[in-house]
Amino acid sequence: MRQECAEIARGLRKHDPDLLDRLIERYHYRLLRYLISLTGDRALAEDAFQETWLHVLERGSQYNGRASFESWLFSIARHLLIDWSRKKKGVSLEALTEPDDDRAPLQVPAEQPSSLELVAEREETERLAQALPSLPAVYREVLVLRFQEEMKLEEIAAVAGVTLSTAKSRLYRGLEALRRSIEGGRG
Amino acid sequence: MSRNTHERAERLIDRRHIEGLSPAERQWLDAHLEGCGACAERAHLTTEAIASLRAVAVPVNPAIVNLAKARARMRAAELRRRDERLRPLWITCAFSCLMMLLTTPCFWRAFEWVGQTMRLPAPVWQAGFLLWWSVPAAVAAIALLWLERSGRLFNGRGEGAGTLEG
Repeated sequence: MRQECAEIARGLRKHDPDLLDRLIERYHYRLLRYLISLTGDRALAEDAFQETWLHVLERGSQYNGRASFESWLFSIARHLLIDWSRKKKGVSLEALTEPDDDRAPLQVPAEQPSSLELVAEREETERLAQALPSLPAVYREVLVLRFQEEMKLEEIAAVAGVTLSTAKSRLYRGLEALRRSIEGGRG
Repeated sequence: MSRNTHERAERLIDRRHIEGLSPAERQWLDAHLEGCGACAERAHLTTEAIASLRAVAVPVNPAIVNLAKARARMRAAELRRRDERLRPLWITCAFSCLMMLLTTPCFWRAFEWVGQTMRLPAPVWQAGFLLWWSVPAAVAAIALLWLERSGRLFNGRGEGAGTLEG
């Protein structure tokens, strides 16, 4: 793992296009899912996705290979969104990432076997798709990093640019908010 | 069961998914959940919410992946060209620094000798040395800044990165 990260760092310093191809191929899904979760807006997330890879190239020399590449990648994407929100005068990251009611950022997989169990699972996912965008962006972010990306708490704190205790606190509050939101959806 | 017991169980239900539990805590929680319907329901709901979160899928349009690859390739080529263009500059800078370190004491003595020969006050020949030492570097820095601003030194991102979008 460490050796792989060191190789990535070396390749980024050389602006190796083949390495970039491999990284995009490997991380595109997770990066896009993270950006959609954070912004709640697919079009904005896709723009940020494109720009993130250019930033990865330009700031490649800053990646030292000691931390995991994905947490560095996600942190670049996050900073990019913050920069965009600053450029939109008077608009906070929270406002930038506020979901548009007309769009459904999270989608249920289209191809599912039609067993009763999977239908129930799909209904649950649909409920979640409605519940998740209603949560504040800071909670959505940590929930996605923890439970979709399976990141360690230290990595989540590094990506979100907060202390470990703040990351934990956001996770607890986010989980509580998610549970309430799902319960509300059922009621 | 006391209220504290339920509150502890609620805390542990969340902590199990976030930080993990010790074997003793897990044992205590499992025992509590077996006898407490409300806490068991909360635990079930939490597990379901997390499982659903993990199951969320985001359809990806292959076109945006290909576009990202193409843009990254173009930008990588630009950056490599820029690095190649900057290499002689770095070599020149390194050589200049080395020469400066080696020659400064000699030139200081030379200026001192000229100052004494011409009977100049010390501040005059020292100011002369300072000008000799700093003016060429300042002129070079201004020239580089001008070249950079006019886009002749670095190939700015705006020139190539957006061409695929058009």
